Amino acid sequence: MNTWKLDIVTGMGSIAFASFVLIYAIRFPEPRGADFGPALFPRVIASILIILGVLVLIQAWKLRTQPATECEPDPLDEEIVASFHGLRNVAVTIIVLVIYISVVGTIGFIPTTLVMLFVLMKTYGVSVLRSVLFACLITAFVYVLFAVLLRVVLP
Amino acid sequence: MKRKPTTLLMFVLSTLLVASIAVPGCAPDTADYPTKAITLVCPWGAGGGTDRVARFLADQLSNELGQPVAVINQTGGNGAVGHNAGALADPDGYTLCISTWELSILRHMGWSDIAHDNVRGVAMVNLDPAGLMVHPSDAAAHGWENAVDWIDYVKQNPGLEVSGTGTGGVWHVALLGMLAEAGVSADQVEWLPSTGAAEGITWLLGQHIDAVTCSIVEAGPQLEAGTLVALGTMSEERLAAFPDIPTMREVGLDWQLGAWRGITVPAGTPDEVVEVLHDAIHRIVMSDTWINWMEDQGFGQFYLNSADFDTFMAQDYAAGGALLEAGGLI
Amino acid sequence: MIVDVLASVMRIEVLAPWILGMLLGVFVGAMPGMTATMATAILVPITYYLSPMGGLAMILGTACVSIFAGDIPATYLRVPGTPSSGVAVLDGYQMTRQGKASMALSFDLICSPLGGLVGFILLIGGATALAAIALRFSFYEFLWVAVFGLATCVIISRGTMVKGGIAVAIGLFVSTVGVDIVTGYPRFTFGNVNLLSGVGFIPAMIGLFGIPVVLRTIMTPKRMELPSVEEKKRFSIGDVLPRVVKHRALILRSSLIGTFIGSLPGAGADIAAWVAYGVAKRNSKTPEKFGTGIEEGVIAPTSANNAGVAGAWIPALALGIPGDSITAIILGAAMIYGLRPGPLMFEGASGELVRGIFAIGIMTQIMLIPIGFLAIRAFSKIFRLPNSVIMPMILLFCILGSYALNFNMFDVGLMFAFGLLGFYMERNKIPLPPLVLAIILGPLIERNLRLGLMQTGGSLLPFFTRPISVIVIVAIILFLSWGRIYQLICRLRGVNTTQE
Repeated sequence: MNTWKLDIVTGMGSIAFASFVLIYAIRFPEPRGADFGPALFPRVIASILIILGVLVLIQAWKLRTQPATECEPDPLDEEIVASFHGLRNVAVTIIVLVIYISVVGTIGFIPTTLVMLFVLMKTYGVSVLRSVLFACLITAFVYVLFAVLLRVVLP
Repeated sequence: MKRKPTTLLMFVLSTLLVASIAVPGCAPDTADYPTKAITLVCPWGAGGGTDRVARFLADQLSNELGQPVAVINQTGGNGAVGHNAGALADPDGYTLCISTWELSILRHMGWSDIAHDNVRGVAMVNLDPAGLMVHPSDAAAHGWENAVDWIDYVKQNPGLEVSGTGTGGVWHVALLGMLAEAGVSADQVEWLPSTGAAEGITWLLGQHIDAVTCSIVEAGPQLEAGTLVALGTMSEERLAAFPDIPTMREVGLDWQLGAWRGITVPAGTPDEVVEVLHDAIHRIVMSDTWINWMEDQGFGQFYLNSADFDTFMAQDYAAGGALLEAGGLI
Repeated sequence: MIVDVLASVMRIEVLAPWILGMLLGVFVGAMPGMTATMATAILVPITYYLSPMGGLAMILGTACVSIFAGDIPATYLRVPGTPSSGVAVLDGYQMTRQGKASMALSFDLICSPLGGLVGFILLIGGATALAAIALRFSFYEFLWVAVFGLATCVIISRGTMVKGGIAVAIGLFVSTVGVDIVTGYPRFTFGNVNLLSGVGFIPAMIGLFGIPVVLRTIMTPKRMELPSVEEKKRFSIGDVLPRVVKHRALILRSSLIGTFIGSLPGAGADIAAWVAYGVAKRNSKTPEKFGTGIEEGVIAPTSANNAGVAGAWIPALALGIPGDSITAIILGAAMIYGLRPGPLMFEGASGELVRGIFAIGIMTQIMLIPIGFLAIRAFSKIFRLPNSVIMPMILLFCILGSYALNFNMFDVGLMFAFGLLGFYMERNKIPLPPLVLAIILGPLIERNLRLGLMQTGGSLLPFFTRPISVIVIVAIILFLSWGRIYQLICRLRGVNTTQE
């Protein structure tokens, strides 16, 4: 997606979010006397955010008409080629993690973690054997470190 | 060549699976409680006073009960998160909570719906009385020797700044109660909320504020070094560690308050379970190990049995609400 | 005297728990979400069975090493292991991407102990004086320190100013969630008890930095086969030593900033690291290179955060007020053994303990080098595995890290929410560091402003007229423009010499 289109999303999002904060903060109790109440700080921030949102929109609009604007190269900017495999990876990851978080408390840490790691590695293209090996190793390592050595209660 | 790692893997995998399924397999039975590991919820952060008491007690409790007792810190919201977790757990005796004074005000302040009627007291194990601390140079300048001197000064010079904890916290209520007892309106002093006693003490050391109310123990290092002076303690009798500090009652103020700590279980926990836990804790608090440790750490020793603890919490809840209302906080 | 002190700590009953503690520190620091505070709390019951000095050595060793070890996952994977290694994800991680991970970590390994040494020397020489300065700080001065932090936000921001501003505003907003400390009113909690204490900083930071890396990697399947960390050349300590010598002024300045900020009750090593980074960037001749994997960007924060750990001891020993929760635990333990913080700390049994703490602190910095070296070696082997194995592992550690902090699945959800936010922000070139720093600074700004106004009855004047406020303002301006002033002096001298 072009930068200016994302900028429009950012600007709109900032304004919408800040407006929500402003409306929500109406409910906050008013301060007694000369004190400054709990609503002051959020209101100031939200107002600034609205101004910044408008500025981003203006900049985006300028970028649209001048698509050749030179931007400072971002070191983290890397090529993401949207491919079928890539999107499948993301979809599977999200589904697996949602399931993991919802069942880990009831089924227990060791079996859920084993299955989670195995499915993810398999999806990412690791061979079955290596997936099982690494899933076991990582789970065992984490269990020993957290639960046995540090006596941290796992989910 | 290829078979060997596979066999090994299958062995590791199956062992882990069997082990993990076997652990939660046993069903809880109140007759031979406890049969599995117990969790002790601590609503305050690792390393704090409550956490230290919780960890030492957990250690002793697991010796008594023969099952591991693990402390987990569920902090936040002035104790609301941990107290919620403790009160809403399954009432089977496998989740305990080290409740603190804040249980009495969570509902009043609107931080949580949980209060004393959501839990059953097992035993109260500790009470740290509050004190009124001032800077020695202020005390010398205004001739403050006890709490009444200070309150008289407040009557003539309203607007002194006091700190010790956040708004509505235990040491704030300690101040409100003392002022109410002396017949002084709460708005005669200004409460500057801090993140805790340590921060309030720093401000007082730098003379940015005029007094601090917090537990005598928390100000112990400064009191011993003479960099702060205690005008009074809100305890029934003088403290063994600080025999020079007068009590409020000695100067005519009938006011006592301390931060208490005790073990609670969710309401609806069977009587037999509470009894087992109470008996174990009773043996612990009567032991020399416990008494010496508490003394070394400077914690006030105070024990109440299950029934007394329940009554105590109910009274504290009512008293806390009244003071917060009088102070204009709710 | 020094020999006596050394003899008292170089005994097997001290050394054994000490080294064990340091090894534990490596794991605690490298594991996101496992904080040194938690490890220290777990260790305290064990220390009851040790000699006083052995117990102190074990806890101090764990605490010092874990601050360094936090840089390891931050550099390799962009997942900070401790809150104070959040800055290491900037230039450290960029170096990793350029195949220079061992170089970044070698810098960390040398500069961390150097910063710690400076901090401990200041602690030994000037604890009382520095503590007296810290005491003079009231709400007004703390507000200025926070404003200094905000200035740092602007300095470290890359890209357009407007987008940096959006990041700061979001961060400040996030910091307002939870019970308002001044009135006790719960803000933006939507009735959820988990939000009463606000948004957890560690889950937010792990999510913001860690999750976008995972998402980007798994979206490009061709990168899944590659090792997660590739190194063109293995750098060792010998290779980077000359560079460290070259940057000695930077290390000293960052350590001084770290010690001082660490000594302020309420500020800590995390803020110290960010501020040191900001000051280094501001005074650099090539500020545009910061954030692309530059040495200075690694050296400044790592010197400052270790110095900050030592700085936290200043108010603890001089006033009996712990600067952070780790110091609180150690102070509590040490007082049972007879430590008397305050003017009498060097007398009798207390003096022995204080000198022991000093000796252990300094020796730990020196012993950090071999232990850290082994740790880096071990971790570099793990991260040579392909991304397809490492990515599930990072996800697991992100989950565990945010869960183990508070034993709360809510924090895990929060971590993922911030992860998605971080991913979106980076796609749209909104910088993440200002957001993270703003979350830390938000409460500092709001509380001190409101408390200051409460104390003055609404007047802003003391923020500018108190003598100590003025000193702080001048110091901030000097720090921010030191590079320019230095150039100016040089130019003036240059002009003078030519005239003569």
